[in-house]
Amino acid sequence: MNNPDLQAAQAAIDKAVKPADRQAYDRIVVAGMKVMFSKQTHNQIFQGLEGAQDPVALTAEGAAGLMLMLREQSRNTMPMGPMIMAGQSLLLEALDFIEQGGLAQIKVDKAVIAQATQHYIETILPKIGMTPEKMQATIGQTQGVMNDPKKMAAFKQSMGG
Amino acid sequence: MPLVAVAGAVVAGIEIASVGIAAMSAFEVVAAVGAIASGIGVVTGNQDLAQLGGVAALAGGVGMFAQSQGWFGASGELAAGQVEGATGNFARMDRAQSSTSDMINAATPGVAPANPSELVAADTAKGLAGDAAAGVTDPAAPAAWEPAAASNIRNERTGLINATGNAPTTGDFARMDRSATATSQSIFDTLKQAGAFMKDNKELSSMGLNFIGGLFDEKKKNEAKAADALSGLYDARAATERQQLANGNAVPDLTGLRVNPVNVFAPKTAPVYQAPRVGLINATAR
Repeated sequence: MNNPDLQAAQAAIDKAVKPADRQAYDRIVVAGMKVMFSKQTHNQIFQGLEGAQDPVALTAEGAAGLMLMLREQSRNTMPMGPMIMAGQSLLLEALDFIEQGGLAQIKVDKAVIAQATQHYIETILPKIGMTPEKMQATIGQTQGVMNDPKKMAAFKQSMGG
Repeated sequence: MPLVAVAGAVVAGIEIASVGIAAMSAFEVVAAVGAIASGIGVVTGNQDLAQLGGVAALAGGVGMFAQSQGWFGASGELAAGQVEGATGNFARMDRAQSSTSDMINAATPGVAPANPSELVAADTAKGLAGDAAAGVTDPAAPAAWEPAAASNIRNERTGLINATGNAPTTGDFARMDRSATATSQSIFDTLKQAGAFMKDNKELSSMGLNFIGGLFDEKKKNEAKAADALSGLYDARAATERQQLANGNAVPDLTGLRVNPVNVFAPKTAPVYQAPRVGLINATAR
């Protein structure tokens, strides 16, 4: 990546990957890169972006779709956490490729990266069953723990604090 | 499959992958989303993304830890019952959904129970018959395919006492608004509500997670905007310096340069050899 904003974003994602997830994350990124940039597919996979009304949103949706396809290929064994992070990494790769190749009129800057990230999250989460209602319930379930000083102390200790 | 086709499939709602999500994965997903959003938010200077990502990362982290400790019970799935049983704002928000059906089913004073399809059929038939008999088309009248206004709804408004008889109560409107909000939420709206809860949580405050407060503090938002503007200024300056450096390092284009064919350094007369003065004897010889 030549774009400094994309480089910084990629570094942030790499930093956020937990050591336990690193291997799975790397494997998913490699698999995704193979699909995006292999000789057989790289010409076809980005076709249609030229002239697209919202190429950033389209790219974000494409990255989400790619992740879902890969998960299906893995017979749904692909772990969710690394998958979501790998999808974000591939989204950044795709934005870089599109900008470098001039496939669409995109000048990738911080605002575009933030917009693409938000769209990616909003697209992929409902598709893996994490609807806003489900997220509400999931986070709501943690409230009991958050209200319990003893449990929070244990959590804090687990974080090394 | 082209990217566009993949994207189209996602947008069109085609289930590319039929995926269920277990509770453990749900917390993992929330934590991963939080990590992405906060990381990208910080790098791009997008305060909302950074803060909402922080909320998700925290909730996901707490959830994963609690799950590993077995604090949520043995079942690995988030059941609807568990959601209802949970205490706090989020569980209560779900009740807005059920209030809609309460409102629909509640008896509303002033309107007699009637079968809508019967009303439409009767009035449409009446309208068509009337038009045919008259042989003219009234431009103000509804078209034949439009259901005419139902005439057999009993309007019991008679005088001031019943003036508000057909109107829904204030409570109904309030409930309608809440149910509309509940259904129009996005993922980030949900995270924002989670942040509202966490903001007032003493345990989280004691952990130094004050960043969440910025979500609701206009002063902090304005400060962040000012910082963004300053950052833009610095970026512009840095870009100017980079350009100057690039200009300095660039190899000049010499294609248009013409060289004088005359060698201006060529001597016009042959040089005369002069032996160097060596020794004291020759030092003053004239």
